[in-house]
Amino acid sequence: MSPGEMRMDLSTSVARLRGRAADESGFVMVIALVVMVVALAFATAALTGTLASRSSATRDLRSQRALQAADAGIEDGIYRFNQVNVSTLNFTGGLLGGALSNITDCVIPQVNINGVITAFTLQAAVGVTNGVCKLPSDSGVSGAIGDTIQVGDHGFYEMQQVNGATTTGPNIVLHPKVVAVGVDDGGNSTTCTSTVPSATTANTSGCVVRRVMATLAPIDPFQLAEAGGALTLNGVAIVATGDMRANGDLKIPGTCVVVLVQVCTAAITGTNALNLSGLTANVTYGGSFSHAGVFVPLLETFTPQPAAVNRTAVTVDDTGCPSACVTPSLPSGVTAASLGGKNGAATAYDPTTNTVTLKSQALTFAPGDYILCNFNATGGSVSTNIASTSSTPVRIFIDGPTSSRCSSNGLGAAQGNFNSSVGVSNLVGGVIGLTGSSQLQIYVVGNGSTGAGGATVTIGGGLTESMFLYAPTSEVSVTGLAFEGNAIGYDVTLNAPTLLENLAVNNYSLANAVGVFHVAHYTECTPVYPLPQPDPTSGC
Amino acid sequence: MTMIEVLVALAISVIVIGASTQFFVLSNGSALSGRRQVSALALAQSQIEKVRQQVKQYGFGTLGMSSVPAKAGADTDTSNPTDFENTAATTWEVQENYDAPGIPLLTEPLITGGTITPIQTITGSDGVVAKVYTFVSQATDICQVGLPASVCTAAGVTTASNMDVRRVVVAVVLNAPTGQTQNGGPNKPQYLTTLITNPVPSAQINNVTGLRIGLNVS
Repeated sequence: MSPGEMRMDLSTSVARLRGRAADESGFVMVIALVVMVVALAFATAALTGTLASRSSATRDLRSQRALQAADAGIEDGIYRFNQVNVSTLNFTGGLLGGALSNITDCVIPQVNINGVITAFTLQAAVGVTNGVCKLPSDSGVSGAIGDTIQVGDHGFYEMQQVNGATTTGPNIVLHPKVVAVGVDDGGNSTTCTSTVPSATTANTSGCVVRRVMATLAPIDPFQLAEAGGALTLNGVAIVATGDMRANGDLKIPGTCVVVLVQVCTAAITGTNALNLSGLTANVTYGGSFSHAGVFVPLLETFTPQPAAVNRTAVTVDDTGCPSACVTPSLPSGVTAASLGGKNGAATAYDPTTNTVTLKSQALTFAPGDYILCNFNATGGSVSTNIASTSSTPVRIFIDGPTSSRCSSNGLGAAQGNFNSSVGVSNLVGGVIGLTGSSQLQIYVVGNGSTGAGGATVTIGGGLTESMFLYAPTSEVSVTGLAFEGNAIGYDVTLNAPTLLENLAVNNYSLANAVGVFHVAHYTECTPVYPLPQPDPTSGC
Repeated sequence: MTMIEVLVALAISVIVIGASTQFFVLSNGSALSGRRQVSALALAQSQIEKVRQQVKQYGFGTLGMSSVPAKAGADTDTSNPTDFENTAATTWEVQENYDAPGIPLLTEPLITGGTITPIQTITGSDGVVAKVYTFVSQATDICQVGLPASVCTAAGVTTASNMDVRRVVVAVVLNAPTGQTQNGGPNKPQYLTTLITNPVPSAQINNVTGLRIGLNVS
């Protein structure tokens, strides 16, 4: 090829290329392909996202299964803690019963090496500070339960109890814990065995793990006096035998000497039952502590309380109950007429308003439950008729003004109170301790308010009052020669020189539906299976 | 640009749009199914919490079914939770996997005489309507399922007859979505199960120590 031909051929090729470059044919195809890629990318992204969301929903389900399994473990642990021989909780006895066996403030459960409570020995009867009984020693040994329990539906749990006794100043606070790990094995029980390393966390090896911990608290025994608000003690020389507490102010306005003794038994320990060493009673308060004039505290301690304690208002509600939960206003066999006179009328009890109004004559309560909308006695006498050996107490419930029982009786807000200016005689021959203060139990629902607007419980007269009074939202005032029992109210005023804690709690409870321990705190821990050792609570 | 190019481009576009549409349909169906699964889970959780609350409020004795629905189908039919009952509707089969049932882990007596309604039709907060089944059975005593005997005997209660441990199985069966043509799964019941124990073990010699305040008077 000559140089000229070569130049011509090159020129032709360039021209052809330029022509092809200038030719736009086929561009639609390119655009279509680009559109296809973009559209498929969008669709794929949408589908991927949705599938991820679906996977998340499935994981949520598995996570919930694991959590329910863990909660089953918590139930297991609490059950074991509550499997205590409560016969050791001998609340009977009393001052005249001859045995200062147990007392409400000093009941301390004992935990064995497995973290299981085996008894309520009263080794703890060495005093109470800040509402917490002392323990003589702390074994400090955690539980040793490590086997897994099948719950079904892919789930199983491992649970461990922890003693939970911790030292707080001179005291040991017993708050046992239950730690449980729940596992969803994804349908393959072999993937989540105890051979899985302890560092296994959620979703490793196909397992979904949730770990939870419940901190338990023992029953909170009733103290001699408890006030959600202020507690006022009036008397020249007050002798009290039990602990008291107030979330608000503590007031002792009189010029007085105050002697408070915690009468914990020492018989269990084989020493003198009246050995006062370490038996100082305690009065705790959340607000200020004021007293007037000469104030000479002797055996008591007065200290700020570490935390407020609020009692739950009682509920008198038979709606939604099982069929057996029908509550008559008067006990079976008790007629309205038997309740005495109402200003010369046939009865003090008015069935149309479900109230008792007494201005004269005698009103006597036989053992049984009385559910009223209001109780007001300004004259006559009010008493119980209970044999000292009776296993049935008098329980008087004052329902709230807005309750279904009372809201339509026309009394409006002028009800819901328990007032007796003539007192309530609950003694046998005027001797305290024979009947037992818990043989008369008064429960006041309240009107929804506390403080000055709350329901009132005023018990006056020159009697010695002996009762278990539970009105945590009400204004409570008890006046008498002496008071024995428990007074729980919002603002509580005790006008009596002698205050005795309830030592004869023959009929302590309203129901048997709660155990010795309840869950005070529940938290979720980092998911670890099996439970970490030696401290299963680490990461909680 | 020739007619052939246009036709080819149109064909590609149709294919792409068709494929994308399928993707979106799948995605939408899956999203719907996911939402419904979440709804079913929420209903199951809610039901278990209601049961727990009932035990707290009315006591452990009410933890039982008010009645037992009849067994609906064969054991292998996983669409109806009652199929895990026996023919007499007196026992419950605890399965490792209710979606693919095999030999039961345990067979436990169903507990009646309580206040738990076994089948309820509930509308979730998102409008999903479902049948919520709640079964309560007497679990084998937890002490008999592998815990160290020393622990159990120390606690004092080891027998299965005390009925202190009850298994609660909640199954949620969603109604078919209305106005939807795509897959509205999950098509199988969604299960949650747990154990609830008696707050006051029945073997206590004296079980009247409860300080329950605020309970209905019974």
